[in-house]
Amino acid sequence: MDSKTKILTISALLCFLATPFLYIGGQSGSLGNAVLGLLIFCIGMAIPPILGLIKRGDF
Amino acid sequence: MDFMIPVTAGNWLFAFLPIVILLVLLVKFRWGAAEAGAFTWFLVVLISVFVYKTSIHTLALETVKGVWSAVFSILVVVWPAILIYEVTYEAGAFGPFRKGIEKVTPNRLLQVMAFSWGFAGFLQGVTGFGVPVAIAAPLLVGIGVRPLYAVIFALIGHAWNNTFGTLSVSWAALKDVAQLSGPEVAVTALYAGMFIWLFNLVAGLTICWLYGRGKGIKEGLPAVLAISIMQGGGTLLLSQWNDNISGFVAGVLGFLVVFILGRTKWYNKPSNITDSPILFDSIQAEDKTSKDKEMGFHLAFSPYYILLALTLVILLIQPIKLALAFWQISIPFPSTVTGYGFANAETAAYGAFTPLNHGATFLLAAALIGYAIFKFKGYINVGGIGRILGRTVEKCIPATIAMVSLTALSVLMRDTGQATVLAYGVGSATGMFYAFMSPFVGILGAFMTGSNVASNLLFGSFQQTAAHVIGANEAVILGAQTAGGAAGNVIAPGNVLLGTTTVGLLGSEGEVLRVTMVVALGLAVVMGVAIMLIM
Repeated sequence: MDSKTKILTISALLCFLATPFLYIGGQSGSLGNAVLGLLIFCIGMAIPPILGLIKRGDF
Repeated sequence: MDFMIPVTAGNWLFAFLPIVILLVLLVKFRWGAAEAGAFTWFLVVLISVFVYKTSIHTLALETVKGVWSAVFSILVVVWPAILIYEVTYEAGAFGPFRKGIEKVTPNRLLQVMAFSWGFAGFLQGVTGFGVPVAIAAPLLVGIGVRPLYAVIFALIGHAWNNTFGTLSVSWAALKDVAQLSGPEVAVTALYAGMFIWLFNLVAGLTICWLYGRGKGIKEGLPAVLAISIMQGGGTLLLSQWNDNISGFVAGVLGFLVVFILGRTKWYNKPSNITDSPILFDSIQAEDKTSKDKEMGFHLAFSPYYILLALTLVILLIQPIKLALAFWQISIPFPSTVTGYGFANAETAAYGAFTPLNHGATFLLAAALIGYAIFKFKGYINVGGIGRILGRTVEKCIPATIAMVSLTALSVLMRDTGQATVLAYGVGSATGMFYAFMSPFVGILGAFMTGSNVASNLLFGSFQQTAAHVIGANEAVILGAQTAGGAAGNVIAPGNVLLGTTTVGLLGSEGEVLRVTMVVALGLAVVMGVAIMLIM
């Protein structure tokens, strides 16, 4: 597995990891869980475009 | 209207902006779907919160819905589809497979049409869920089609059967939301069938054009007419008789006619087009999958025979299908509402996935049984399982993040009212001209959701209301909606991604869209003109 795939694996795992927090946060109205879940999800989502920009030398 | 979002130019443009950005990143800047999808997701989040007044709690729940849909609608198909391809590749089955096809017809153009149009259309008649693209695209590569064109052909060749295929689930959704009954069903099915036939014909001609431009059309015309009469004409006629299985029967007829065509004077000899840009060097294709001990065609095709057998037995025999539907995986969601009052009802079983009668399970079972057969026959060497799984994971990971981002953003746009504002904006701005725009709305729905069913659920009722308001024929507009929804599948990022992933072309989604977008939008224009003439 190359390094890009490894990083994208982490990105995907972060997105999946965020979902229980998001679900509990949204379901029970717990702002802390929802915000924590969104933060983790955002980190996961930010990785692919940043990787792409680094690869193209724009970053 | 059951929401209070002002359909202003500003709100409409903010809803349209993410689609433009996504397409520009994919097509103009050639970003991969994972990068473009993730970037656009951030934009949709910002617009949802600051323009469409979405609370953090709603945002959280809609994000989970997006992830859930990505996993249980698309990724469950992607993973086993790649696995079955890698098993076939590892066993070196594509070389003998191609040689077997050459015995049916030595004509490469008919071979291409057989898989991308006949076989993919047939598969869509029974399975759907992207399986036709995931299966047909690698098979086309196996017979020597360049991966980029393999994806394009599979997308174009299967999509016509989205409405009445998969046992007419999209059609049933349209009937349900539009509350059609009796004669209304027959008349709407008639118009839908006509537009779908048009789409089907365009699909066949496009494949021929890409194969050899004018020469391709000339050589392929007899086959296009014969296959299209079976597929498009069959759908149209059968929809008046039994709208539940019309897509399946038409798909079978369209595939079978290929075998007859292979014996005719037109196609019992090699193609006259020797320099088709869509084919790669045949020696290269063979070397890629060659083995010391070559297998026969039927053995090479065995995973796909198993897939067909499982699909036909389980999905077409209703008692078996119903019995296996007992196990359902779903998740409950509370109702959500935005600051504008756009509400999504509470749902007890969101995105229900029935593992035992889902195409994804058939794919997985076919891959595992196929592996066992190839291994038993000695076509998979020591360490084969490690290589198969390694390549499968390498292809699946980027596809996973891309699908999660694309689905999350489309669910968020749908459930915060952005998709509805887009459709209502088009409706109110175009007035009587709306009839022309109706197929575009169907395409928009499928583009955003990756599904003809979802497009019909999202916009079916709206299209009916719009037709009523402008005094247009509702059956024509609803027919255009569902045919547009079928056509939208050729540009839906999820479907494109499914194809690029299975042929190892991940990141080239923009290249595919450059071609399929012309087909989808061109078709919508033709349909729009036809609608205006009918009115």
